[in-house]
Amino acid sequence: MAVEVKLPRLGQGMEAGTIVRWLKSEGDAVAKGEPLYELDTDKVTQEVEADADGVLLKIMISDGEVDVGTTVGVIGAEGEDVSGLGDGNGASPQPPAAETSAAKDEPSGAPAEATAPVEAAAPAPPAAGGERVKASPLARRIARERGLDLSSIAGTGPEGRVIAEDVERAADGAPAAPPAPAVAAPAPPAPPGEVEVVELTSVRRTIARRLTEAWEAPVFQLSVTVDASELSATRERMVGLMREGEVKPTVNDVLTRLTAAALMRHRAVNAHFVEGRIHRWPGANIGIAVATPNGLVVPVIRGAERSSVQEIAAVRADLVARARDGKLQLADLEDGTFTISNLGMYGIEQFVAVLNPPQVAILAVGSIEDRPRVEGGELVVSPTMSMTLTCDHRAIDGSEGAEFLRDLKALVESPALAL
Amino acid sequence: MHLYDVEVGLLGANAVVAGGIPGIVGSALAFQFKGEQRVAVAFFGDGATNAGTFHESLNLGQLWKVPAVFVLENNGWAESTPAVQHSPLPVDELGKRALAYGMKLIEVDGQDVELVYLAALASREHALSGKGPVLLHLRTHRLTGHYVGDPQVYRDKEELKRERETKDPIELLRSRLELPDEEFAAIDSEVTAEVEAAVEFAKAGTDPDPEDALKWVYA
Amino acid sequence: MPEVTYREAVRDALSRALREDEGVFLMGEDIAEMGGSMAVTQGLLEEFGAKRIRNTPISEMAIVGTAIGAAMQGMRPIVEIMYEDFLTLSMEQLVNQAAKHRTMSGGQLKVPLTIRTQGGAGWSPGAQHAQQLEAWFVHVPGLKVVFASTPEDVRGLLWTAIHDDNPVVFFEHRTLYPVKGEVPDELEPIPLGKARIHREGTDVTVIATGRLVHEALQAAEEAEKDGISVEVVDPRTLLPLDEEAIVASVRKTTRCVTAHEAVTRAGFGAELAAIVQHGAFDWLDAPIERVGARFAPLPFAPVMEQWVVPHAADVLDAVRRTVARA
Repeated sequence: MAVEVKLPRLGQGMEAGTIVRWLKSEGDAVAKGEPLYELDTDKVTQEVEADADGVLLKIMISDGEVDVGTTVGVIGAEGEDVSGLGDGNGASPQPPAAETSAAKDEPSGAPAEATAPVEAAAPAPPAAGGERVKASPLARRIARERGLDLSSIAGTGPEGRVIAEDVERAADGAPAAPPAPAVAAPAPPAPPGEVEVVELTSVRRTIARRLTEAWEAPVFQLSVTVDASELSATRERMVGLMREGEVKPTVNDVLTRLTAAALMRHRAVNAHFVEGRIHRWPGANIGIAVATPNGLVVPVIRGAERSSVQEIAAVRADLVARARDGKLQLADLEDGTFTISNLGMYGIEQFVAVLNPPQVAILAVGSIEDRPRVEGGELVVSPTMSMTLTCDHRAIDGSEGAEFLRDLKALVESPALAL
Repeated sequence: MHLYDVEVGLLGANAVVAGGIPGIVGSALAFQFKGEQRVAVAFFGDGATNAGTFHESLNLGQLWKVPAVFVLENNGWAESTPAVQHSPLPVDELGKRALAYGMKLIEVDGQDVELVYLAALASREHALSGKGPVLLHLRTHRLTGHYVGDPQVYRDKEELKRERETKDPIELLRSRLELPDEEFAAIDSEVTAEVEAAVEFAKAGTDPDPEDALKWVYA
Repeated sequence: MPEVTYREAVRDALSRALREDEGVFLMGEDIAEMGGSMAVTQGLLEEFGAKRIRNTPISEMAIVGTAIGAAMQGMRPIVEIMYEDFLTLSMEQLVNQAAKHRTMSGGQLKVPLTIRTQGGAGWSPGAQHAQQLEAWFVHVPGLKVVFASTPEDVRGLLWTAIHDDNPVVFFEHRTLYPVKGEVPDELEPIPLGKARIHREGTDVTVIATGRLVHEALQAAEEAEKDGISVEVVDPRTLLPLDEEAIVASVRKTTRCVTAHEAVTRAGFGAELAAIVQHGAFDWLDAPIERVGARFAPLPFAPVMEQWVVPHAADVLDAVRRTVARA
C-alpha cells in the first residue's frame, strides 16, 4: 500500500521548506527512520526520515521550495502503480493560520507557547550540504592552548580548513597574516574590475529579513569596561580542576554562567517582546553567536542559570560541533532568552550588536586587552574587556538595562558574588 | 616442531617441505670453503622431491660438488597423498631423480637397520671425497599416521596392519640378531625411560617470558 | 674528496670486504666473467678468483638458500639478484628461512647474509623488470632493508650491511648507477637505521627514497622560487627506520610528503605516513601526501611509463598541496 511522502511541518509556523537534495534515488529500498532527503527551513537544514518501509517509487519534487504538506515522493511496494498519487498537491496544506493565531493569543508562561507565534527566533542555521569547518590537528592544538573558540575562526586552508596560521592570526588579533609560504593557487583570484555577485540562500534571506525587523526596534546601548583579571583567573582555575575527558571551559563559558545569574536577578532583561507584550522567562536560555562559513547561527544553552560552567562548556562544545556539521536541530535554536556575541578573538575591542528578536537584549563582548584604568585615583594596568548591552526600549528602560549591566560587571569582576 | 640444536649439528626441523634443503647445500659449501671434513645432511620425504627447492638444490649441489648427503626417506606418502598421486615416476624409482643431476645415488631397504648404517657411511665417504653429494634413497614404510592422532581415513587398514606386522625395523633387527627377550626388554625399558623422562622434563617446564618473543628477532 | 659513480661505490665496498675477510664471497647470475648485468662486479673475478666470485644457475631459491646455509656456518655470503623482480622467486627462502632461523633456533643461529638487488624504471624494461618491492621486506621481522641513493651512502651502508649479522636486503637503483657523487677518501661505514637530511627547510618535509631523493631535491629547488622551504630527508635504511629523525622533521615543518618510485598503494610511504601521523599528530597542519607510481603494472610504452612513474613535478605538486589555501 503506497504511502505519500509529504513535506512535514517541522515547527509551528513553518509554511514551506526547500528540498536541498534527495538521499535516496527512485527505486532504492528505504526503511522507516532512514534519512530520505535534506530539507532547508528558515532555521535549520535537517534530514527528513522515511515514514514507512518500502521502495522509493517516485520522487515528485527533486528540489526547490515546497509548501508544507505537499507530496514530494511516494514509498510503496516494488512495481506498485502510483500514477494517481500526488494529485493533492496544489491544494493548500493544513493551514497553519489557525494554530498560530491561537498560540499568539496565549499569555506567556509555558515556553513552548511563547515561541509559537514567531517563525524564527534565531538567525541563520548552517546552510545546505552540511558543510563542515575543518581544522588541522595543529590548528586545534593551538586553539586549545590559547583558549580560543575554533568555531569563530575563518579557515584559509583548502576546503575552508582552519590552519595554524588562521588561529595564530586570531590569537594575535593581527589582521595581516604572518609571512606564510606563498601559494601558487590553482585558480587565480578574479582580476580587479570584475564584481562577483553572490546570490542569497534562503537562509541568508531570512537573516536579512529578521535583522531588518530588528533594526526597526527602538534600541539603546549601554557600555561598561570590566576588569577581566578575576574572570580569566577563574577560568584558569577551572581548567586546572578539569578531569579526563571533560571539555576545556573558555572565558566565554564562565561569562555565560555569570550572565545567567545576572539575568535571574533582572528578569526584565530575560524576556521577549512580541506583538506588544513582554514575555518574561523563568530560566536563562543563552544563545551563543557562532560563525560558520554559511552564516551566523545562534544555538542556545538552556537553563544556564542552573548549570555549572563545566556543563555549559560541554553543551557549548557539542552545539558548536554540530553547527559545523550542519546538524543543528530546530530545538537547538529555539527558546533563547538572551544572546551573547563575542568578537574578542578577532581583536575587536568594542562593538554594538544588533538585537536578536524577539529577545529584548543582547550583549556584545570585546577582546581582553591590557589597558590603563583609573582606580582609586591611581593609574593601573589590568586586563580589561568591554561589554555593550543593546536593549529594546519598548521593553526595557535605561535604568533597568543599566542595573543589569552594573550587576553583571560586578559578577564578572568578582565571580564569587554569583554564588 | 622447530627443533634446533646447533651444538649437535641440528640446523632445525623445517615446517616448509623441502625448505631446508638449500641451506644444507650452503652449509656443505661452507665446509668446502673452509676445508673442514664435515658433511651436511638433509632429510626429507618423497613429497619433497617434487618441490622446486629440491631440484634447485640437487642441481647446484652437484654442480659445485658440495659435501652434502640428501636422504630421501621414501615411505610412499605425502601426508594423505600416495606417491601415485604426486609423482609421475613409480614410487620405487623416485631415487632416480638424482641421476637427472648426474648425482651419485645409493639405494637401500630403509627397514634394514644395518644396511642403512652402511649406506650412510658410504654416502658420507663419497661426499667427503670431493666427488660430489649423494642422494641416499631409503625405501621405507610409514607405520603410523602423518601426525599423532591421524585416523588415516585415506589408507587401506588391512595394508597398514600388514606393514605393522611385517615391516617393523626393530622387530626385523631383533629377529636377525636372535636377541633374547630379557635383553630386548632391558633395552626397551631403558629407552622408554629416557624418552619418558624427557617428556616429563618438557611438561614440567615453565612458560617463557612473553617479551622474549622479541629477543632473537635480530642478531 | 674523490668523485665516484654509485656503481663504483658499490664495487668499492664489495672489493674492500672481499679483501679484508676470507669469509666474504659473492654468488649471482653472470657476475663472474661478465661482471654482472649492471657491470657492478667487473674486475672482481680477476682479483678474487672463481671460488669467491661464483656464477650460479638461474636458480634464485637455491642461490639464496645456499647463501643462507653458508651464512649459518659463519661465512658472509653476498648474493646478487639480477632484478628485484626475481626476489619473488627466492621469497620462500628469504622470508621463511633466513628471517626466521635466529628466532626459531632461540638465538643459536644467525644468518649474516647480504642480498644485493636493483630495480628502476625509465628505460622501458616492462612490468617484470622494474618493480620496486622494498615495502614487502619491511614487513618481515628478522630482515633488514636498506635503500641508498648516493654514492657515499651506498658505499658506507653496503659495508655495514655486509658486516651486519642479520639478513639484509640491499636495494640499489638502476638509474642511479652512473650518478656521480663525492665520497670520503677512506670508506666510512654508515650505521643502519640513521636517516640523512639532504636539504633543510621549514615549510614541508619530503621523505624520499631511491631515485625520488633526487627528484625531491629538484622539486625543492623549484618550490624555493615560490617561497616554499622544503626539507628533504632520506631514511636510507627502511628497516630499522630512523623514526625519531623523521618525526622530528615533521614536527618542525608541520607538513609531510612521502615519495618513492614504488606504487603508492601500500607502499613504504604508507608506513611513513602512519608513523608521522602518530608521532606528529598535533603538529600536522595539512594531510600527509604520498607520491608514488600509479597502480598499474609498469607499461612498456615510453609515454605510458613516463606517466605511471613519479617525477619531480609530482613531488612539487604534492608539496604545493600541503601549503595550499582555499
